[in-house]
Order: sequence, then C-alpha cells, then structure tokens
Amino acid sequence: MSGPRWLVPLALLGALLVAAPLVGLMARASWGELWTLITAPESLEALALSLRTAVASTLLVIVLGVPLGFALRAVHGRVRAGLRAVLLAPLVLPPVVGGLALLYAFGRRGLIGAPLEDAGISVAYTTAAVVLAQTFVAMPFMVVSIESALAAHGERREAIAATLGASRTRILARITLPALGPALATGAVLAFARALGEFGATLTFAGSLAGVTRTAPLEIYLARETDPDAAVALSLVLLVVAVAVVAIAYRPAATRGLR
Amino acid sequence: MRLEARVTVLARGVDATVSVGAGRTLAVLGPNGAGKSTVLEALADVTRPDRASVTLDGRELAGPRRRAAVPARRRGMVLLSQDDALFPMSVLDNVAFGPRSAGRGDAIAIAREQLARVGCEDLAERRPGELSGGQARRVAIARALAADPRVLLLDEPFAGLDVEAASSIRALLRTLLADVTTVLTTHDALDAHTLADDVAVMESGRVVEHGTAADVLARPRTRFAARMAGRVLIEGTMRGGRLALDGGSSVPVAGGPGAGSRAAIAVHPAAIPVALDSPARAGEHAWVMEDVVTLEPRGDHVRAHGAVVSADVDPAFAATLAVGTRIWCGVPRGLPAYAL
Repeated sequence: MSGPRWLVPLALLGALLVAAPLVGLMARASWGELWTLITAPESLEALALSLRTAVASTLLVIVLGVPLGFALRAVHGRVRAGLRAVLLAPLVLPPVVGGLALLYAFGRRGLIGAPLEDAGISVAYTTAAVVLAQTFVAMPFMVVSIESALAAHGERREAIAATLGASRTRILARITLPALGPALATGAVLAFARALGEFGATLTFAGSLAGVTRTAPLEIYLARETDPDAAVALSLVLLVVAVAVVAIAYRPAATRGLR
Repeated sequence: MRLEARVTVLARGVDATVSVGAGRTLAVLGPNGAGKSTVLEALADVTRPDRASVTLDGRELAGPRRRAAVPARRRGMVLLSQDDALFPMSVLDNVAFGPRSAGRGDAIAIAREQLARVGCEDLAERRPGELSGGQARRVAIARALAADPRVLLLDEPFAGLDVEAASSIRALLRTLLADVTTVLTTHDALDAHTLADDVAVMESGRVVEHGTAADVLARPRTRFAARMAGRVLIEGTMRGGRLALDGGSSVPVAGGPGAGSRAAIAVHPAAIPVALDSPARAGEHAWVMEDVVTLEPRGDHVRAHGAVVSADVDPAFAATLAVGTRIWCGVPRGLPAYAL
C-alpha cells in the first residue's frame, strides 16, 4: 500500500514534527562531557531511583494488571464497557489530575490514606508513593494488552486441557499464560517505559525529594535552568530508552514467532 | 463404564439421548451441522448444556441441579477435537499433560509408552508446529489415552487428514479402542462400520435411530438413517413373499414379518440398475417404474431419486435424465425384508 502521491509531503511534514525535537535535543547536547554529566551524583541518584521504582511498578503492573485483563473478559456488555472506561482512564487523564486523585485516596487525609496513617503507615511523599503513581499511570497498558490478546485467543486448548484433568490454575500456567507471552511482554515493556517517564502524578503525589522521590524526569525539570547540560544529558538517556522500548514492543506480530 | 446421557443445548438445537456400554464404541453418525460435536462437548461439559442427565457407571455426573454437575476435569471423559489442539510444548510434554494433571510421578514413562503405542516415540522432542497432520492426530490420540479416560470422546477423528493418513489412523484406532469406552462422531458410514459396536444416527440435533451397528447400518428404519448408512430404504407392505411398494409395484423378498405388516429392504443404490425402457422380464431384478423426482450429483456419480426407489447412475447417463423422466429401476430380488 503506497497511497496517492499527495500523502508524501504531509508524511514528510509529520516526520519533521516528530524528528526535529529529537534532533534539536541531540544538537544541544555537550557530547564531550556527556559521560561526566550522566555519572554526576545527582544524575546517577535520580537515574537509579527511576530504575528501581520503574522495575517495582512494572512488577506490580504484571501482578495486578494481568488479573484485571482476565476480569475484563469475564464480564460482559455494559459492565465490561464501564469497567474498561474506568481502568483505562489513567491512559488519557492529565497526570497532574492523576496525582491529585492519588493524594485524595492515599494521602495523609485520603480515603484510604487516613486509616493507613492511623495504623502508622504513611505513603505520600515516599518512594512507595512514586511506585504507586507510576503503577497508576502504567497499568492500562497491561490491561489493554491482555484483554485484546484474550479476545483473539480461542479457548479450545483450555477446554481440552480441562477434559485431560487439569485444574484451572494449571491451565492458566501451562496453556493460557504461555499463549499470552507476547502480549504480556508488550504490556510490560510499555508499562516500564511509561513508569520511567512519569512526571506529573509523581510530582503532585510524591513531591521531589532528592534520593527519595526525585526520579529522572523530575531531576531534568529541576536542572533545566540551573544546569541545562545535565538536563540534556539525562534527557538523552531517557530518549535512548524510549526508542529502544518502542523498537522492542512494536515489532509486527508476524516476526515475533508465536510458538 | 456404561454411559447413559441426554443432553440439551438450546442454542444449537440439540436434544440428544445416547448410551454406550462398557468397553464398547458408539458412533454418532450424521451430516455436518447435525450437532454431533455439540453432543460430545456437552458430555464432557466443555459446552455447558441447558439440560443434562449424564450417568457414568451409575454415578450421576450431571442431573437436574445444574450447580451439582461434575466439572470437565473430574469427569474422566477426554475430548479429542478435530483440530488436535496440541499445546505449545514438546510432544512428550503434551502426552504427559494428563498424567501430570493427575499428579502422577511416572507421567513421563506413561507418555513414552502411549507415544510408542501410536508409533510416535521418535517425535517426543518435536514441537507441535513440526508435525504433519497425521502425526499431530496420533500425538493427540496418545495424549488422550495417557489421561486414562473412563470415556474417550473422539470428534471426527479423520477430519482434515489425507486419505493415506486417515486409513492408517483408522487401523490404529481399531486396535486402540478395543477396550476403551468410546463415543466418536463421524459423517461416514465406513467409520461406523469399521470402528463402532453401536450407532446413533443424528438428524438436526436429535438421535433418530440408536442400536447395534449391524442393526442400524444394515436395517435402517428411516430414510435418513438409510442415507447415512449409504443405502436407500425401500418401504412397503408384506404380501406373501413379496413387498408391495407404495407406488403399486412389488418386489420378491426373503423373510420379513407377516402379511399386511409394514416392512422395508435396504439396498445399495449402486446395486440398482436403471433403464429408460421397460426391460425384458427375466433376470435377477424386479423392475419398478418411477418418474425422476430429483437428480442429486454426488461426486463421481448421480443419484436419481424416484418416489420410492433411488439409484446411482453414471454422469453420462444422468445427462439423459431430467425431473419427470420415466425410468425403470431394477431392485434385486430376494433381499431380506424386516419389519419397520
């Protein structure tokens, strides 16, 4: 499919719009000092925190998001439509709104946060809050990925496995989950990338405490005026990760090998 | 392991009653869309029936209380589907799946033994994608048998196989099914002949005839069952040693019930010669006059249906026929008649 020729200039314009900022960022980078800038204590601290929290929230997304994808297939009609709308809302919600919502749920005076506070557990403005914020915004990627994979997945093998005497858990572990492998990987990679880039909800709900809640995006935002070179260097790291993630997650299904 | 069952699946118009004795093989014979697969799925509880009464060896697996129905994994009825549905793991792991699910420590040994029985021990390390159609079916059979089923449910075991693979698997099943209680579906009278002790003929979701294979296939009681058995049913009334057909002619038959009873003979349509003119009276056939009602192309031949008799003719001859053409059908004399 190549389409009519007048698509070409529009496509070029589109490519320019996407590529120009990336090129601009690279043009601004002080390549000679790049390594020094990235390995500066503040940068390393932020990067390490980002990595830790993003890994933690990706694990949470897998553990909670996969069951949510199954739950979405188990309900039908309006209930499914309604549930899906709620579960996928963080995908399109402005992150700062998400952060506020998290604050009123898990903050010190929040719906769940207040009883937790009474029990001596404080969530807001801790690293746990960062993980919570990242999980909140990244979960929809897994839910949507699992749900659509389940929709395309026939249940023949599961049925046969049941007649062979397998329990539901065994069927899930040996038949369904392996078949969902590619969807699970895609969901996890996208969730990890989204968690790594989280900014608005984190800032609102977790604040910007160096070493505790100041992840790489927050460090970039803070450094952009005081130390633009460091900000650009950190940005490049996140850019490389983003491009790599997309390259991994969006391969056409045919080249992925389903067996 | 005597199985008695009645299953109703409203969405697919199925309401069927079947039974099979311990160690016997029941063939559910019917055309595509008759609901044969649905019956197997309902028996295994893979498709949840609207109403079901399933008893295996006196134990109720499904009854009036739907919530009390025994789930698929505890029924001991293993379903072998047309598409094999091999799991994305090695052949050996596929076959070991059943015994492992039962928590057996010797699962691998059982799997190897069953693979050997189907002649596939050398395929143990292959993945399902590396098997031919015939190999995949053999592995699926081994996997089903390895689960030590109380009842084996085979859905069209030869579907999708080439002629050679189908005939070698037919021979394999003849030995493997000898002592396993089995329900298999087929649209082919040959499978019923070669594999089954009992036959249930299904038409539009209902079992219309149920009996021993010899009885149902050689002495069908309905036109539909006769058709599935590869025969035509010629019905009439006994008059002495003759069967008086509904069209007015009569045919000499052997045996049969007393005079005045309804009776029939079942004839292979290829054994009925067809002529355009009244043939000489002599010969081993009783000639019955018919007007062609329909002409049904069936691959390499055409079946000419009259009001009472149907006969197979070759396509060249069929080209001289049209609906309404007067033909003479030679019904063999002295076929055994039986009461309807």
